[in-house]
Amino acid sequence: MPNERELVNNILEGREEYFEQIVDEHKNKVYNFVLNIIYNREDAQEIVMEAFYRFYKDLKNFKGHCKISTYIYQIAKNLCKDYIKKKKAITASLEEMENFIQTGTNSEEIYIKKEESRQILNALKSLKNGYKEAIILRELEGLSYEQISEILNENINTVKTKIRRARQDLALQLKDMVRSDAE
Amino acid sequence: MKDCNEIKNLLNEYIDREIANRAEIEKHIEACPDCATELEVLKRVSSSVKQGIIKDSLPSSFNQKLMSKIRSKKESKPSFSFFGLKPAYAFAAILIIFGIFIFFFTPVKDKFINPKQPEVVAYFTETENQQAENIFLVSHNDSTEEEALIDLFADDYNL
Repeated sequence: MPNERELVNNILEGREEYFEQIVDEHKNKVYNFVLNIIYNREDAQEIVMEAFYRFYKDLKNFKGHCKISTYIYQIAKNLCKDYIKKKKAITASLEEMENFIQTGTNSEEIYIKKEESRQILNALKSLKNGYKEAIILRELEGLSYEQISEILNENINTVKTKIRRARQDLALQLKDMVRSDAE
Repeated sequence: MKDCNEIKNLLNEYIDREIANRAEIEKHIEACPDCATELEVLKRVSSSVKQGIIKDSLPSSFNQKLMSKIRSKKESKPSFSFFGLKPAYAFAAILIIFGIFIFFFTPVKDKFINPKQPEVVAYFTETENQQAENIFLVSHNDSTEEEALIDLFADDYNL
Protein backbone atom coordinates (compact mmCIF):
# COMPACT_ATOMS: atom_id res chain seq x y z
CA MET A 1 0.00 0.00 0.00
CA PRO A 2 1.48 3.39 -0.98
CA ASN A 3 2.36 5.86 1.77
CA GLU A 4 0.45 9.14 2.09
CA ARG A 5 2.88 11.16 -0.08
CA GLU A 6 2.66 8.56 -2.84
CA LEU A 7 -1.14 8.51 -2.54
CA VAL A 8 -1.26 12.28 -3.03
CA ASN A 9 1.13 12.13 -6.01
CA ASN A 10 -0.99 9.43 -7.63
CA ILE A 11 -4.13 11.53 -7.21
CA LEU A 12 -2.37 14.57 -8.69
CA GLU A 13 -1.50 12.41 -11.71
CA GLY A 14 -5.24 11.91 -12.19
CA ARG A 15 -5.72 8.51 -10.59
CA GLU A 16 -9.04 9.09 -8.86
CA GLU A 17 -9.18 5.56 -7.38
CA TYR A 18 -6.55 6.64 -4.83
CA PHE A 19 -8.69 9.58 -3.79
CA GLU A 20 -11.64 7.23 -3.28
CA GLN A 21 -9.36 5.05 -1.17
CA ILE A 22 -8.75 8.03 1.14
CA VAL A 23 -12.46 8.85 1.18
CA ASP A 24 -13.38 5.28 2.13
CA GLU A 25 -10.81 5.20 4.90
CA HIS A 26 -11.83 8.44 6.61
CA LYS A 27 -15.36 9.42 5.60
CA ASN A 28 -17.31 7.78 8.44
CA LYS A 29 -14.86 8.92 11.13
CA VAL A 30 -15.10 12.52 9.96
CA TYR A 31 -18.88 12.18 9.56
CA ASN A 32 -19.32 10.97 13.15
CA PHE A 33 -17.12 13.78 14.44
CA VAL A 34 -19.24 16.36 12.58
CA LEU A 35 -22.51 14.66 13.58
CA ASN A 36 -21.57 14.77 17.28
CA ILE A 37 -20.91 18.49 16.95
CA ILE A 38 -23.94 19.65 14.95
CA TYR A 39 -26.58 16.87 15.49
CA ASN A 40 -28.05 17.08 12.01
CA ARG A 41 -27.55 14.18 9.60
CA GLU A 42 -28.20 15.97 6.31
CA ASP A 43 -26.07 18.98 7.17
CA ALA A 44 -23.32 16.72 8.53
CA GLN A 45 -23.26 14.85 5.20
CA GLU A 46 -22.99 18.15 3.33
CA ILE A 47 -20.14 19.29 5.55
CA VAL A 48 -18.22 16.03 5.09
CA MET A 49 -18.71 16.20 1.33
CA GLU A 50 -17.47 19.80 1.27
CA ALA A 51 -14.47 18.83 3.44
CA PHE A 52 -13.40 16.07 1.02
CA TYR A 53 -14.08 18.34 -1.96
CA ARG A 54 -11.86 21.09 -0.51
CA PHE A 55 -9.18 18.54 0.34
CA TYR A 56 -9.20 17.36 -3.29
CA LYS A 57 -9.18 20.91 -4.64
CA ASP A 58 -6.24 21.97 -2.45
CA LEU A 59 -4.28 18.77 -2.90
CA LYS A 60 -1.52 20.59 -4.78
CA ASN A 61 -0.88 22.65 -1.64
CA PHE A 62 -0.79 19.65 0.69
CA LYS A 63 2.88 19.36 1.62
CA GLY A 64 2.56 16.41 3.96
CA HIS A 65 3.06 18.66 7.03
CA CYS A 66 0.51 16.47 8.86
CA LYS A 67 -1.42 13.26 8.31
CA ILE A 68 -4.13 13.26 5.64
CA SER A 69 -6.77 12.44 8.28
CA THR A 70 -5.64 15.40 10.41
CA TYR A 71 -5.90 17.71 7.40
CA ILE A 72 -9.44 16.53 6.56
CA TYR A 73 -10.51 16.83 10.23
CA GLN A 74 -9.13 20.40 10.27
CA ILE A 75 -11.23 21.35 7.23
CA ALA A 76 -14.33 19.68 8.73
CA LYS A 77 -13.78 21.39 12.08
CA ASN A 78 -13.58 24.82 10.40
CA LEU A 79 -16.72 24.09 8.39
CA CYS A 80 -18.51 23.13 11.63
CA LYS A 81 -17.43 26.44 13.17
CA ASP A 82 -18.81 28.37 10.19
CA TYR A 83 -22.03 26.33 10.37
CA ILE A 84 -22.49 27.05 14.09
CA LYS A 85 -21.71 30.74 13.57
CA LYS A 86 -24.33 30.92 10.82
CA LYS A 87 -26.93 28.99 12.82
CA LYS A 88 -26.01 30.92 16.01
CA ALA A 89 -26.77 27.81 18.11
CA ILE A 90 -27.26 24.09 17.68
CA THR A 91 -30.98 23.72 18.10
CA ALA A 92 -31.62 20.02 17.62
CA SER A 93 -35.16 19.28 18.80
CA LEU A 94 -35.95 16.49 21.29
CA GLU A 95 -37.37 14.41 18.44
CA GLU A 96 -34.20 14.84 16.38
CA MET A 97 -32.08 13.92 19.39
CA GLU A 98 -34.20 10.78 19.96
CA ASN A 99 -33.13 9.58 16.50
CA PHE A 100 -29.56 9.41 17.68
CA ILE A 101 -30.17 7.43 20.84
CA GLN A 102 -28.88 3.92 20.58
CA THR A 103 -30.90 1.08 22.02
CA GLY A 104 -30.20 -2.38 23.36
CA THR A 105 -31.63 -5.70 22.24
CA ASN A 106 -34.32 -6.74 24.79
CA SER A 107 -37.11 -4.52 26.20
CA GLU A 108 -35.55 -3.92 29.66
CA GLU A 109 -32.15 -3.29 28.14
CA ILE A 110 -33.74 -0.99 25.59
CA TYR A 111 -35.29 1.13 28.36
CA ILE A 112 -32.13 1.37 30.51
CA LYS A 113 -29.85 2.00 27.56
CA LYS A 114 -32.20 4.55 26.09
CA GLU A 115 -32.41 6.49 29.34
CA GLU A 116 -28.66 6.38 29.87
CA SER A 117 -27.95 7.33 26.27
CA ARG A 118 -30.38 10.23 26.52
CA GLN A 119 -28.60 11.55 29.64
CA ILE A 120 -25.14 11.16 28.09
CA LEU A 121 -26.20 12.79 24.85
CA ASN A 122 -27.75 15.74 26.67
CA ALA A 123 -24.66 16.11 28.84
CA LEU A 124 -22.42 16.09 25.75
CA LYS A 125 -24.69 18.53 23.94
CA SER A 126 -24.46 21.03 26.80
CA LEU A 127 -20.64 21.07 26.80
CA LYS A 128 -18.86 24.14 25.46
CA ASN A 129 -17.97 23.60 21.78
CA GLY A 130 -14.23 23.73 22.42
CA TYR A 131 -14.45 21.04 25.13
CA LYS A 132 -16.83 18.96 23.05
CA GLU A 133 -14.54 18.90 19.99
CA ALA A 134 -11.61 17.74 22.11
CA ILE A 135 -13.47 15.01 24.04
CA ILE A 136 -15.24 13.69 20.91
CA LEU A 137 -11.95 13.38 19.04
CA ARG A 138 -10.46 11.59 22.03
CA GLU A 139 -13.33 9.18 22.77
CA LEU A 140 -14.59 8.58 19.24
CA GLU A 141 -11.32 7.64 17.59
CA GLY A 142 -8.90 7.50 20.50
CA LEU A 143 -6.75 10.18 18.89
CA SER A 144 -3.60 11.22 20.74
CA TYR A 145 -3.40 14.64 22.43
CA GLU A 146 -0.84 15.63 19.80
CA GLN A 147 -3.17 14.76 16.90
CA ILE A 148 -6.04 16.59 18.62
CA SER A 149 -3.85 19.66 19.12
CA GLU A 150 -2.99 19.62 15.39
CA ILE A 151 -6.63 19.31 14.35
CA LEU A 152 -7.80 22.05 16.70
CA ASN A 153 -4.68 24.11 15.98
CA GLU A 154 -4.06 24.54 19.69
CA ASN A 155 -1.27 24.03 22.15
CA ILE A 156 -1.10 20.51 23.63
CA ASN A 157 -1.56 21.89 27.17
CA THR A 158 -4.79 23.59 26.04
CA VAL A 159 -6.00 20.23 24.76
CA LYS A 160 -5.14 18.57 28.10
CA THR A 161 -7.09 21.28 29.94
CA LYS A 162 -10.08 20.96 27.63
CA ILE A 163 -10.26 17.19 28.03
CA ARG A 164 -9.91 17.48 31.83
CA ARG A 165 -12.66 20.13 32.06
CA ALA A 166 -14.94 18.24 29.68
CA ARG A 167 -14.71 15.13 31.87
CA GLN A 168 -15.21 17.20 35.05
CA ASP A 169 -18.38 18.77 33.58
CA LEU A 170 -19.65 15.40 32.40
CA ALA A 171 -18.94 13.81 35.81
CA LEU A 172 -21.07 16.52 37.43
CA GLN A 173 -23.93 16.12 34.97
CA LEU A 174 -23.85 12.33 35.06
CA LYS A 175 -23.05 11.99 38.75
CA ASP A 176 -25.87 9.44 39.41
CA MET A 177 -24.47 7.27 36.69
CA VAL A 178 -20.74 7.57 37.33
CA ARG A 179 -20.54 8.08 41.11
CA SER A 180 -23.24 5.63 42.31
CA ASP A 181 -20.95 2.84 43.48
CA ALA A 182 -17.58 4.29 42.65
CA GLU A 183 -17.45 5.89 46.12
CA MET B 1 6.71 12.50 45.76
CA LYS B 2 3.53 14.02 44.28
CA ASP B 3 0.58 15.00 46.47
CA CYS B 4 -3.11 14.20 45.77
CA ASN B 5 -3.79 17.41 43.81
CA GLU B 6 -0.86 16.78 41.49
CA ILE B 7 -1.94 13.16 40.99
CA LYS B 8 -5.56 14.18 40.30
CA ASN B 9 -4.35 16.61 37.65
CA LEU B 10 -2.61 13.73 35.88
CA LEU B 11 -5.46 11.18 36.00
CA ASN B 12 -6.87 12.12 32.59
CA GLU B 13 -3.47 11.73 30.98
CA TYR B 14 -3.14 8.42 32.83
CA ILE B 15 -6.37 6.94 31.45
CA ASP B 16 -5.60 8.31 27.97
CA ARG B 17 -2.12 6.73 28.10
CA GLU B 18 -0.46 10.10 27.56
CA ILE B 19 1.89 9.85 30.53
CA ALA B 20 5.22 8.07 30.66
CA ASN B 21 5.54 7.50 34.41
CA ARG B 22 2.44 5.37 35.04
CA ALA B 23 4.02 3.47 37.92
CA GLU B 24 4.17 6.57 40.12
CA ILE B 25 0.43 7.13 39.73
CA GLU B 26 -0.44 3.47 40.25
CA LYS B 27 1.60 3.42 43.47
CA HIS B 28 -0.25 6.50 44.76
CA ILE B 29 -3.67 5.09 43.79
CA GLU B 30 -3.04 1.88 45.74
CA ALA B 31 -2.44 3.86 48.91
CA CYS B 32 -5.03 6.65 48.40
CA PRO B 33 -8.77 5.73 48.29
CA ASP B 34 -9.76 9.32 47.41
CA CYS B 35 -7.62 9.40 44.24
CA ALA B 36 -8.69 5.80 43.45
CA THR B 37 -12.37 6.94 43.50
CA GLU B 38 -11.53 9.92 41.29
CA LEU B 39 -9.82 7.62 38.80
CA GLU B 40 -12.82 5.26 38.77
CA VAL B 41 -15.21 8.19 38.12
CA LEU B 42 -13.10 9.43 35.21
CA LYS B 43 -12.95 5.93 33.71
CA ARG B 44 -16.75 5.70 33.91
CA VAL B 45 -17.16 9.12 32.30
CA SER B 46 -14.87 8.01 29.51
CA SER B 47 -16.77 4.76 28.90
CA SER B 48 -20.15 6.58 29.14
CA VAL B 49 -19.07 9.00 26.44
CA LYS B 50 -17.88 6.11 24.26
CA GLN B 51 -21.28 4.49 24.79
CA GLY B 52 -23.38 7.63 24.30
CA ILE B 53 -21.52 9.16 21.39
CA ILE B 54 -23.46 9.04 18.09
CA LYS B 55 -22.19 6.46 15.62
CA ASP B 56 -23.64 6.50 12.16
CA SER B 57 -22.59 5.66 8.60
CA LEU B 58 -22.79 7.75 5.49
CA PRO B 59 -25.24 6.59 2.80
CA SER B 60 -23.77 4.33 0.11
CA SER B 61 -24.38 7.05 -2.50
CA PHE B 62 -21.88 9.39 -0.78
CA ASN B 63 -18.82 8.55 -2.92
CA GLN B 64 -20.79 8.82 -6.14
CA LYS B 65 -22.19 12.24 -5.17
CA LEU B 66 -18.76 13.47 -4.12
CA MET B 67 -17.10 12.36 -7.37
CA SER B 68 -19.92 13.95 -9.42
CA LYS B 69 -19.40 17.21 -7.53
CA ILE B 70 -15.66 17.11 -8.25
CA ARG B 71 -16.16 16.28 -11.93
CA SER B 72 -18.85 18.92 -12.48
CA LYS B 73 -16.65 21.62 -10.93
CA LYS B 74 -13.74 20.49 -13.11
CA GLU B 75 -15.87 20.79 -16.26
CA SER B 76 -17.26 24.21 -15.36
CA LYS B 77 -13.79 25.61 -14.72
CA PRO B 78 -13.13 28.69 -16.92
CA SER B 79 -10.95 27.74 -19.88
CA PHE B 80 -9.42 31.24 -20.13
CA SER B 81 -5.87 31.57 -18.91
CA PHE B 82 -3.00 33.93 -19.69
CA PHE B 83 0.43 32.34 -19.42
CA GLY B 84 -1.14 29.87 -17.01
CA LEU B 85 -2.58 32.62 -14.77
CA LYS B 86 -6.10 32.50 -13.31
CA PRO B 87 -8.58 34.95 -14.96
CA ALA B 88 -8.41 37.60 -12.19
CA TYR B 89 -4.58 37.64 -12.16
CA ALA B 90 -4.49 37.51 -15.97
CA PHE B 91 -6.79 40.56 -16.17
CA ALA B 92 -4.56 42.48 -13.75
CA ALA B 93 -1.44 41.51 -15.77
CA ILE B 94 -3.06 42.65 -19.04
CA LEU B 95 -4.01 46.00 -17.46
CA ILE B 96 -0.43 46.56 -16.25
CA ILE B 97 1.03 45.67 -19.65
CA PHE B 98 -1.48 47.99 -21.35
CA GLY B 99 -0.56 50.81 -18.92
CA ILE B 100 3.17 50.39 -19.63
CA PHE B 101 2.48 50.36 -23.39
CA ILE B 102 0.45 53.61 -23.19
CA PHE B 103 3.17 55.29 -21.11
CA PHE B 104 6.05 54.50 -23.46
CA PHE B 105 4.22 55.18 -26.71
CA THR B 106 2.70 58.53 -25.73
CA PRO B 107 4.67 61.57 -27.14
CA VAL B 108 6.66 63.37 -24.45
CA LYS B 109 4.96 66.80 -25.00
CA ASP B 110 1.50 65.25 -24.42
CA LYS B 111 2.68 63.42 -21.34
CA PHE B 112 3.77 66.60 -19.49
CA ILE B 113 1.12 69.04 -20.70
CA ASN B 114 -0.10 71.61 -18.15
CA PRO B 115 -3.69 70.65 -17.41
CA LYS B 116 -4.56 74.30 -16.57
CA GLN B 117 -3.65 75.59 -20.01
CA PRO B 118 -7.04 75.03 -21.69
CA GLU B 119 -8.73 77.17 -18.98
CA VAL B 120 -6.42 80.08 -19.77
CA VAL B 121 -7.17 79.74 -23.45
CA ALA B 122 -10.90 79.73 -22.77
CA TYR B 123 -10.59 82.80 -20.58
CA PHE B 124 -8.58 84.50 -23.28
CA THR B 125 -11.13 83.86 -25.98
CA GLU B 126 -14.37 84.43 -24.09
CA THR B 127 -13.55 87.30 -21.75
CA GLU B 128 -10.54 89.20 -22.98
CA ASN B 129 -11.54 89.02 -26.62
CA GLN B 130 -14.92 90.50 -25.69
CA GLN B 131 -13.19 93.30 -23.81
CA ALA B 132 -10.86 93.87 -26.74
CA GLU B 133 -13.83 94.07 -29.07
CA ASN B 134 -15.56 96.59 -26.79
CA ILE B 135 -12.46 98.71 -26.69
CA PHE B 136 -12.30 98.56 -30.44
CA LEU B 137 -16.01 99.54 -30.78
CA VAL B 138 -15.70 102.43 -28.37
CA SER B 139 -12.48 103.81 -29.77
CA HIS B 140 -12.17 102.54 -33.32
CA ASN B 141 -11.20 105.99 -34.51
CA ASP B 142 -9.31 106.82 -31.40
CA SER B 143 -5.54 106.93 -31.34
CA THR B 144 -5.55 105.35 -27.83
CA GLU B 145 -6.98 102.02 -29.12
CA GLU B 146 -3.55 100.50 -29.38
CA GLU B 147 -2.62 101.63 -25.85
CA ALA B 148 -5.88 100.17 -24.41
CA LEU B 149 -5.12 96.79 -25.96
CA ILE B 150 -1.58 96.89 -24.63
CA ASP B 151 -2.97 97.61 -21.11
CA LEU B 152 -5.39 94.72 -21.39
CA PHE B 153 -2.68 92.14 -22.20
CA ALA B 154 0.11 93.78 -20.20
CA ASP B 155 -0.08 91.27 -17.36
CA ASP B 156 0.11 88.29 -19.67
CA TYR B 157 3.06 89.58 -21.65
CA ASN B 158 4.90 91.36 -18.84
CA LEU B 159 4.76 94.61 -20.68
